[in-house]
Amino acid sequence: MLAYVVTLRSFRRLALVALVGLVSAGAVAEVPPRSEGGQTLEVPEAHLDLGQVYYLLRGDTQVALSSETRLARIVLTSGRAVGYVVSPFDLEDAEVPLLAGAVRLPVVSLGTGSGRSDRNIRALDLLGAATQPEITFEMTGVRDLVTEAVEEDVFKYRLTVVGKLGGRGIAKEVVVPVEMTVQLATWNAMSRTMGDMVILKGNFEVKPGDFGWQPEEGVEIAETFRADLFLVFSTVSPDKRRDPRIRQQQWTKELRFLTLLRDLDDPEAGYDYGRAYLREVWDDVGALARMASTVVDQPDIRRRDLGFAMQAARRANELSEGKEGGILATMAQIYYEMGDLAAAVEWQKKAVDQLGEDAPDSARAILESYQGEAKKSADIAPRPDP
Amino acid sequence: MTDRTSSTFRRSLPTAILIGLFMAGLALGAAPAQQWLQWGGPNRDFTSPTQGLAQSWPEEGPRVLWRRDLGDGYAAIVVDGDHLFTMIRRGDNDVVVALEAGTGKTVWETEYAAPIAPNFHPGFAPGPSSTPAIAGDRLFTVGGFLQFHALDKASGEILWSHDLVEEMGITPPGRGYAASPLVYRDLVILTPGGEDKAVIAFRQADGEVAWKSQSFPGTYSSPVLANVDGEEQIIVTMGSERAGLDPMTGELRWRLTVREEATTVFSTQLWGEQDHLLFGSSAYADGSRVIKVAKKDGKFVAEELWYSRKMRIHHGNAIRIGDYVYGSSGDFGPAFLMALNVRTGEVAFRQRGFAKANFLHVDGKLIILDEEGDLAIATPSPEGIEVHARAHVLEPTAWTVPTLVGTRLFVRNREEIVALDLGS
Repeated sequence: MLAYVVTLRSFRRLALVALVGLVSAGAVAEVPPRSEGGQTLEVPEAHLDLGQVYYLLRGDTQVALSSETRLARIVLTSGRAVGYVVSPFDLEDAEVPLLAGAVRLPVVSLGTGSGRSDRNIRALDLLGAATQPEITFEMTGVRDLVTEAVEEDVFKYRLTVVGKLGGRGIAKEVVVPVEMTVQLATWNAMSRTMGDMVILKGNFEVKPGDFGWQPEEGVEIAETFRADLFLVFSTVSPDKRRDPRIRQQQWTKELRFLTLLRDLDDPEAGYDYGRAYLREVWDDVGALARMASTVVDQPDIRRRDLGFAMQAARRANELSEGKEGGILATMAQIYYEMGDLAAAVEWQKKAVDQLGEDAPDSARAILESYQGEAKKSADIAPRPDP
Repeated sequence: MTDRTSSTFRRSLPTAILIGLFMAGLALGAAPAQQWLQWGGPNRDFTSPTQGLAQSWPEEGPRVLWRRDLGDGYAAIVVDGDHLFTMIRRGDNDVVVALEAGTGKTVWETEYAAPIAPNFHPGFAPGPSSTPAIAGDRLFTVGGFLQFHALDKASGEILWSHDLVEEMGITPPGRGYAASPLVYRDLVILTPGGEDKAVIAFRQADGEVAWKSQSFPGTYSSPVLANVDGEEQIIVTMGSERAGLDPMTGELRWRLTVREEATTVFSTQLWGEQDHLLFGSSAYADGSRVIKVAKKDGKFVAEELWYSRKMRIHHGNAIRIGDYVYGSSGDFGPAFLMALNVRTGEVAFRQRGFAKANFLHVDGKLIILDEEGDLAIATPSPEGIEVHARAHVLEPTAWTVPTLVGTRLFVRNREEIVALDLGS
């Protein structure tokens, strides 16, 4: 479909009314799958050539779904959506600042912050995780564009994004008015993230009933939910390793492991993948240490296989001959999570001693914390045999 | 190539054949007749005089002459005759290494303590990033933490040295000092930054300070030597300052302060001797610009001709061919091969296909080495880059500009060094 613009002379100064379809080369049939690392989407070739790709960054609250009834208010939030948008390379010469975009949001990532409420909502299958584990959005067009400001480093727009929202196996068109800001990299802006940024803020209403959800009798859930969006995109892909000491292929696999465990909540697939990866990196101290640390340290992982973590950490410690304070501290943390406070104290002490003067205050504070808990505990479990 | 088979030089047939073969050998660069004595090569602009490179490679890539372990670091390789020199990091030490160019065998190593500076940001690893410079029988090296040495090229013996941190109170930049020394007549010039000592010239013979000049911030970008209306100048890019200095005295000849965001520059500037256009590019919060330097009423005046955010070169280099500058644009995001019109800043093309890359200009072609270790030979034009051959020659991260001597290409990453034959 060719792109075309209709300009209404009488409204030229106030608004540019545009209905833009994707150029035929850029048309995408469905939301692209996740990338190999899983922290973004596989951007189609057509979109890579269309313009500058901006990748959705993980944030505290990207999406908030809220509904209110007479007696209850539900707010589900998530910072685990992945996706991208495409903006023209030469924005100042472009008629439309947003050319394409797609997002995936894992249903399991939406939560209220209360375990009990989340269990109840899961029981209702409100979001249809069993039918379609990820809510999807695919942009199909843009309209009602207003350019609000064009400055040296910032471009601001108001526009309406049209797209297909997919959930519970059903796709519906939605219309989302957004404020769009393109923030070029400045030293100030880089305190948030590297690269140029696109920020999309907007909200729309969605009815679970339109996506086939039927309420159970007696369950009071509002017919309409409000979806609030605060999406920050950057030209730096979350899949790209920044530390040149780590090979990109390793980084991709470690991200994949994290995606399975944390974002998709699939521990069976995750630990299977992780075990295969450990075999590949069995002689790589850094990789082993990172895998152990991921299991025990990353927030929001529901099932932590401490045996897996200990296996990786012990091997890393063996290879580094007990001389890496970070690895010693990871082992201490694993023992702590296992409930073996005596061992936690012992290994954290080794970490602090190994780091010596370079030991951060946090390492010493953790040691004191373990020691305090060990003293309080009257029942220290025997050291498990990892 | 001069025809030496005239009657003046007529010999017996076998001798004539030998002479012919010898001349052919020189033309093909089979012997290391050329040198690569400094960062950026003979003219510090990444252009090689070699001709006759192959336009296609076997499936496995160009012939590997030798490959060996090297060590950590980003310093490029300099070559003088049968030996090549570079620098690596080993624990808390810097090491200057000399290898046989023909075999890769170690000739000598000189190792010295180079403890990491307190202000060092470990993101890129501590280098060394600066490339040695060769002058006569001496090799000049400077590490990431400003230990500066003159070594005997044949033996590696340290002839004299300076610790600029201890002696002059200079703080190296946060990623470690990366600018490469510039040799000028009997001087060797560094750009460490600082109050009244931003640019320092040392005598090659004994390391005495010949002059210190300017108060500019430290820089990662190497200085260049330029002929500006018949006058030789060192051109530096330091923080937001762009300046030309008299290389014999350090006297400031011109200065231009550009936008405040232009403070972190790795890439080396390109000087156009015909049109006095100075092209520079950086990433992060800046972009590319051209400054025109002209002499007016006996004084040098510099003005910014254009500035554009469309090409942002991180720590790679750029090549100017005619009216176009070719580079790899992008810092932590995707990288695009791009060309800009050097006179207007207009984008000529933007092309995917390579990760962040470095280039050499050889006989109208570009040799491209990207950070993922892919090597290619391509023909550049304002319409795009036509790749003739491509091969994976190194494991990532390959951030070092290659070195070409004759048809032998030397490439390195943070672990190994490889010599490749790019001849026909």
